[in-house]
Amino acid sequence: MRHSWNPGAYGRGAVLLLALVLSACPVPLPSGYRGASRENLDVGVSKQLKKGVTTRADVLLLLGEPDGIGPDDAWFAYGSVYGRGGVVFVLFAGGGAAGAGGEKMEYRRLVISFDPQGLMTDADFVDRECWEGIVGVGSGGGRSPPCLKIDAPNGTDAAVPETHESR
Amino acid sequence: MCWFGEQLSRLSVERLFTALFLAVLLGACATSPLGRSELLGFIRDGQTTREETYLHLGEPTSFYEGGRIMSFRLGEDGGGYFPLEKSPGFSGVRSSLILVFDENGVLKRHALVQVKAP
Repeated sequence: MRHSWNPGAYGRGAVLLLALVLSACPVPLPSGYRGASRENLDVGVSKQLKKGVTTRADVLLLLGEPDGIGPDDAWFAYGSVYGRGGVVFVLFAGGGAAGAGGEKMEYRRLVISFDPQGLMTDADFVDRECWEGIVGVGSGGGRSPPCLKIDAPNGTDAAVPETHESR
Repeated sequence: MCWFGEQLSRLSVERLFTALFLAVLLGACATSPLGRSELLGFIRDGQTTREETYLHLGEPTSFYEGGRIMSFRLGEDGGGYFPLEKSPGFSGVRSSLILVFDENGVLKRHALVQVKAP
C-alpha cells in the first residue's frame, strides 16, 4: 500500500509562497529618514524642556516649525519617520512587475502643551518601532498604515506589534 | 583654389554649428543656484523690524502667538539659502528660521534651526 504525500491547503500555500519568494528578486531597503520627515528630533530633546519655565518661543527656537499645531497654539507636535531597513521581493513577469515585502520603521513624536500664558505644561515623547508591509503591482501599490501618527497627540490607535515608550 | 575656398568655408560653418550645438547642450545642463549667501544678512536682534523681514523674505510660512513669532522655511544650495513656500512635511527644507518680535515689531530673538541634515 502506497501513501501519497498530501500537504493540505496550508502546505500548498506555503509551497506556493516559497516558490514565489525563490523566483523573486530581493531588493534591500536602505535605512534612513523617510519621505518628508524632519531629522532633528533626538531622543533626549525633552530633557531640555522644563514645565512652567520653557516658553512657546523657546520650543520654536529649539526645534523649529512644528509638524502639527493645536487650536490657539495650545500644543505643538513634532514627529519623525525613520526606516530601519527591510526587503521587498520583486517578481517580473509578462512585461510587468509585482512586489511584496516589509520594512522596520521607527516613529517619534513629541507633543508639547502650553498654558494660556505660553508656558509649557507637559511634554509627551513617544518612540515606537513597528514592521510595515509593502505591496506593489505595476505602477500602483501601498503599505500598511503607520503605527504612530506623528503630527497630532491623538493618533495612536493602530495595532502595534513592538513598542517602547518613554515619557 | 575656388574649390579649396569652398571647402574651407564649409569647414568653418560646420565648426561654428558644432560649437553652437555644444554651447546650447551645455547651457541646458547648467542651472544657476537659487540661494543667496546674503539672504539672512539683514537679521539683527534689537534692530530688524517685521516690515524689513517681509521685504527680504516675503510671506512667512507660519505665525504664532498672534503674529509675535514668525517662521520661514528655507532651502539651501551652493549659492546659499532661499525661502520656500509651505507644503506638507519638510521635503526640500533644510532649515526653519524662527523670528520672535517684541510688542513694537522689533526682532527680539531668532534662531536658524536645521531640520534636515545636508
